[in-house]
Amino acid sequence: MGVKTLRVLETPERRLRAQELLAAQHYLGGVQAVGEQVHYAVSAAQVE
Amino acid sequence: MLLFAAAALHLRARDTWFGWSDEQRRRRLAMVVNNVRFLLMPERVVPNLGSVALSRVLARLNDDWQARYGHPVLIVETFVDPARFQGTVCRAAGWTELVRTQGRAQRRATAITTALCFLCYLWEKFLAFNLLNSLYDQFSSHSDLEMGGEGTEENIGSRFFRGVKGDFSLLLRAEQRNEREHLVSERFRLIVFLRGRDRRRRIRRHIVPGLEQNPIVAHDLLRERALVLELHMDGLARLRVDLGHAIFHLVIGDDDDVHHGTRGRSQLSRHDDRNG
Repeated sequence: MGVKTLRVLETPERRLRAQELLAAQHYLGGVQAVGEQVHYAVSAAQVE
Repeated sequence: MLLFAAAALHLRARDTWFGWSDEQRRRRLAMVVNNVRFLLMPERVVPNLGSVALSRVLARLNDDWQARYGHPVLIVETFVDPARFQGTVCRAAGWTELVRTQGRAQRRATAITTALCFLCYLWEKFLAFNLLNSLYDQFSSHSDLEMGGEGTEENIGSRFFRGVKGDFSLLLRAEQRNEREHLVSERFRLIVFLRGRDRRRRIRRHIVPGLEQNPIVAHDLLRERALVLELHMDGLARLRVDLGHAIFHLVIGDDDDVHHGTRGRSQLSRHDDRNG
């Protein structure tokens, strides 16, 4: 098991998508985009 | 998905833990970031993914933050709602757990009144920054370092120790608590270059006197007689402060760097030749 991809979400479109995902899936929702922020998206390698 | 943002402005548990003053907090809080969201998608359950992903992200967080915002990240904090989670991922990733915080964060439909607070130190950067920050505080307004001299060296050592004693204590305490195998505290070397009036030709080198009074630093300074020069340090993790009349180098090396004696001395010779 390991991390397959790890990337910083650089574009506003990707960060917006991340916020939408957080709003839909995280129990606290998204985060208001104020100040310094860095988003990461990590995907897992396929589990055998 | 992980999202990092600015740290909480006031947090008693954290501020007490650091022991920093209001002024220090004001200046250093930007170096603390908060892991405000950590979302594991529920569709696929992958063992250990949370802690592995967190560790991988932390390994590059400082570089990414520096590239984007121009300043380092020294500490990462996060809050865990104890009603929902136990902080297992943070513990597995080696974070330090503080006492439960008291506060209120209005988010969506819930209001969290208490939270588990975890801190993760990016140790090398944290200590390096604090050490150099202390040096800035203590020496930037003094001009008595010029040309060195015994009295000056004594001043350097005593002032330095007053400023950074807390940092070393903090590191030791955490390392003892976490039973770290490779102690960061054993890998520090502080090198001071005192410049003469002719900066190009009369570079003087000093390891800060008084450091050997500190048992941690003595481990390297006395046993290894660290003579790390500018040339040698090019390939190492390092920070450098140039105050004009003095240059401070803080070097943090891995185990291989401890055995720098031969290479360092050979470069010392070249360095001496070059500078007459």
